[in-house]
Amino acid sequence: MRRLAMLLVVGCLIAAGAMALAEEPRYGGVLRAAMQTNPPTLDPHKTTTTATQQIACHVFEPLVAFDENFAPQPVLLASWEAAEDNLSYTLHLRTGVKFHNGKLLTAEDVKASLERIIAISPVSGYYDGVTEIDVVDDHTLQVRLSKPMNLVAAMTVQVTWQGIMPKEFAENHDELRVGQLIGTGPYKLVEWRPDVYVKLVRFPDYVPVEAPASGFVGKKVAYLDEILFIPVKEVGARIAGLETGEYDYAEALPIETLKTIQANRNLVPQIVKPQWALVWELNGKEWPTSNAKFRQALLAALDMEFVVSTVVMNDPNFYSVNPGFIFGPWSAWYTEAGKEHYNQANLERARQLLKEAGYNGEDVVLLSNRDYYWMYRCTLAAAACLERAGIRVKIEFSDWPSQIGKALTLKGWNINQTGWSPNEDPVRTKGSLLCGAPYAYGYCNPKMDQLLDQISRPASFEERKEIWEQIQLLYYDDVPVIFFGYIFGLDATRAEVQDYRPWYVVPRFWNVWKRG
Amino acid sequence: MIQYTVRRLLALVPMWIVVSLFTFSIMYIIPGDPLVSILGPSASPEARARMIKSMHLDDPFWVRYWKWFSGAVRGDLGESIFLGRSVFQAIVERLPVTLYLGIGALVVALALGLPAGIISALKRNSATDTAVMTVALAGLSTPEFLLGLVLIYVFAVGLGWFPVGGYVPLTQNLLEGLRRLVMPCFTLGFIWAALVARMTRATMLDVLDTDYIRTARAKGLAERLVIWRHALRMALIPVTTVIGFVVILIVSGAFITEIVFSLPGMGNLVVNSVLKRDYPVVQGAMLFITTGTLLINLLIDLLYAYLDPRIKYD
Amino acid sequence: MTRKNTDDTRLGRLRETLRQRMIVIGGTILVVIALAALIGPFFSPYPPNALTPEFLKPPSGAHWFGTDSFGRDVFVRSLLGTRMSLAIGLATTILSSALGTVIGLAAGSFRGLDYLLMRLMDVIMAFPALLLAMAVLAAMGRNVANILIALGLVYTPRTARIVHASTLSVREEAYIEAARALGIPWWRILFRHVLPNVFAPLVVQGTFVFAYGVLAEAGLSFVGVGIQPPTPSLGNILGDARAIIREAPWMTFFPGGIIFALVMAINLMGDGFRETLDPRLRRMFKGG
Repeated sequence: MRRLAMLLVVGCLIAAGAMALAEEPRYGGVLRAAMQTNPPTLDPHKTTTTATQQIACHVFEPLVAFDENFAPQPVLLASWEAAEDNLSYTLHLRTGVKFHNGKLLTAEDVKASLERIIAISPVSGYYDGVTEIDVVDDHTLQVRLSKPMNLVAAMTVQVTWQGIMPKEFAENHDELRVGQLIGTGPYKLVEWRPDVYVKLVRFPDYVPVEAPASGFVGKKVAYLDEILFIPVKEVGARIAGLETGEYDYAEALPIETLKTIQANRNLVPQIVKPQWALVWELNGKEWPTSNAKFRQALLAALDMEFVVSTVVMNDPNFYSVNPGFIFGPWSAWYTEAGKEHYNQANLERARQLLKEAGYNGEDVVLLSNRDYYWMYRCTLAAAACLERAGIRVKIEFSDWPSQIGKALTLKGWNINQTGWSPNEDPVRTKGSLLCGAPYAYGYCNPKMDQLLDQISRPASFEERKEIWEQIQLLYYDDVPVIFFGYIFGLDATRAEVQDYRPWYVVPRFWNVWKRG
Repeated sequence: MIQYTVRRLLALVPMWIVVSLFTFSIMYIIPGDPLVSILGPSASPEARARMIKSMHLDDPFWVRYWKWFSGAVRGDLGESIFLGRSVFQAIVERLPVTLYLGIGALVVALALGLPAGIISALKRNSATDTAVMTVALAGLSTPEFLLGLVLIYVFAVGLGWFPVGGYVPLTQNLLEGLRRLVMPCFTLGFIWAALVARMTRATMLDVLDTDYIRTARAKGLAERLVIWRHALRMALIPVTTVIGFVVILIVSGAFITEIVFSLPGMGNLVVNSVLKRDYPVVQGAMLFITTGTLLINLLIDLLYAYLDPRIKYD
Repeated sequence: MTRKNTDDTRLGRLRETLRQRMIVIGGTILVVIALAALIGPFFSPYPPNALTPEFLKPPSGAHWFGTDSFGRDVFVRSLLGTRMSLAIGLATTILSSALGTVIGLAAGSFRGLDYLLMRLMDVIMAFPALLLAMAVLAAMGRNVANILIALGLVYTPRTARIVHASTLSVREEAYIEAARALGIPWWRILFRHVLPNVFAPLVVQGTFVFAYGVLAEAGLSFVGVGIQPPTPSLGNILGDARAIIREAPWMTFFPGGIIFALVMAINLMGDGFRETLDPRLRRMFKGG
């Protein structure tokens, strides 16, 4: 009898606990997010910088976006179909979608926005086959193409750059300012005080779709009254502000601070997975990186496990070392093709290849920066590997704009330290592997160009995946860039912040709510 | 005196032109461009080319310089590339931050430095004097960022009395705003206090030994009266210098302190703009700072002449 | 401007011992630090730039100053950083003293140049020193040579002003007038009479520039534009430590302590020199 009573009590306690866990989300509150940098502009079509994307993805919505598995899903589109000949696409819009100014989304707005994206945005290159966009009716468009191309893949590239805006603003190809930056997202932009904050407030007329939330698609609910993106450059200030409750969220914290965050009951560490692929871009125009054997020697010399784990101070929760160039195991595109070339740490083979390349201890100039701690750490760790193989590395640190500026000149450097955000579709690699692309830095292989062209055409996923495997194999043969592995970022939230899902390079605050 | 003032003012004009040329040249030869920060690292070359054209970054040096300089003469410093406002407005927004920082630091510096210097001078070569001067020397030997870090470690991280950094406008929340200024003001103020103490002591010693103080003493004036009436007036000279520092600081910002405490002041504005290549802001802010500095230095020289009867101008 | 001079003679002996004590104490600290920095690294079992998995270990018998987030020994890196600080401080001093002397002498000797040169110095001094150094480094690239150029540029005007003032005051002395009247060429007067008189203030100013140079390098490296990693400098160790002051306070306190002791020692010597070499200089350097 007593036992039964005990059981009942325990049962009640468990039920109460479960109820507490299934707490109903609450509307209201202000979320103060401590961000690394001030955005250079808030116009999403004008820039590729993360600071702008982080804000824009709450304000604007694209036609198509990807979910947490990087698979494309409709957002403002209801559906789409490609014509038999693959030379045109028909896009059907969702109905009843409202802009922040109260107007309904129509095909005219989409046409003007797409034209703006193609004219001025950094992703314009992915739309190279588009010849005309016709408005069929209020909610239908036809996109005509000069060659068969995978329009949906292009629309999925970096979706935060591809927001749709009302026609009257989209027709203005100059930089748009607050007041002109009107989207369909769950939050609307109301104020920007550079270096102080960007203020978003709930868009009350937002109509969420019923699909489950995942990545950039599915149900989005604006529980918060207000979101403030506050640039706080100093890591110490971001953490301390989080501790005192001044901020509710802080991004990009160094791994060293994990213990401090874990030790504080008011804070929750968030592992942003996946976040960055560590990458070295190689200059194909300058000796010795112009030599394929030398590039293979670099790959042979590198101990990827050592480099990537050093970046995150050996914490296994924060890195993944796998041969999936650009697509990690979380992506449907992941393949292990060519894995014997990855993570060799074979100094003997490296020396042999160096000899074959005819390398005689010349300086190898490595451009890097300390603006991003993980690039800084990757540079030091990887340079140490190369030194062991007898490669003379000369590291040149500068600030990030100088580094990119110098890299684009293709002169006086061999290796450019960088990081790539998780990719959504293989077409994205055209920017870095296609002959003559500015970020291919002189790499040129007709075979690669042919494969990239093939993968940009409409085809089934299986067919495209096969092509991707060939691309990855060729990549490991040619070594146009060095891919190290993936690191996961450390963000943190206050304990009262609920349902935050760390993923990708931009935080998403829809569906996030604050306990009262 | 008036003639001297006018001559010094006229001399500022060519200096000002050289300053503007110098500032402009530094930004001209600095590698990299604002495009990387605006367009992001993976912008298309077409987008870059378009932007270069629209920003006139491909114009020759003298064309660009003339455009900027002729605007600056008319008081138009141009538009910031990143801040979405005019350079002038950006500067005006930063000034209050440095203003509060400067005034706060000045209060700390005078409150600590003046009494310390006076006591030291009066008790010359005593144990007190040695102690005060050792602390002052220590103050001069401390990098401001180190003092800032130590204060953060002790009072923000350890004791939790003050926030680690950041800025709240005093008009928005007076108490919170002041709380945030305490540590940065103390950091700068302590180092200046060391300077004030040393200068006060040195000037006081000089003054106490001058003939007219000796005469005053000989005339039988009470020691305290001598000190108050004559010596202190002379001690205003180092104070003037330090106030000069502060005013210069208010226009130029103390960039390391501002960085350590995340204060959006003038120094931070210039540093961030250099890093992002916001040419108009760097040029405009530097011109503003240097013009201010030149004027203030002139003013200090004139004040010296007024305060110190021993200084003569030819 | 000219000022009247009086000097205190009371308590002269006490003062004399005091200033000697300052030079001795300062000099001793400086020599100890310099020797440690020069010799110490040779005895360290840890290569300064080798990455090890011993991340962020607190100070212990094996690592006196602990390790940093790359598993490098902070002690040996601090010593090498001190070496760098001393080298940069010294080189800045030599550079700015040489330049400042030439400019100051030229301005003080030739009326035609005087105005031009001194106004040019005013122009440079109108820029906030560290901000100017930072901009120069951003424009010319971050390396040791450019740091020296930047710091040399920033500190030359101060020296030039002092040399200029001394030259002017020497010029007015009766014996110089006499020498000129005798037809002795100016360059000889310069070397025989002016330069020796300029020497004392130059040494004093030099010590202060040394101290400023050490502080400036630390500040620039702290914000990331000075000495570039992996080469250690006290400033860049502190810069790396900034974000993790709570997790690794040893990375802030040990190198910070060295900078403080070093600059304090140099300043002590500067004060001592100032008092010893020429009491009249007190006024010129009031407050340092």
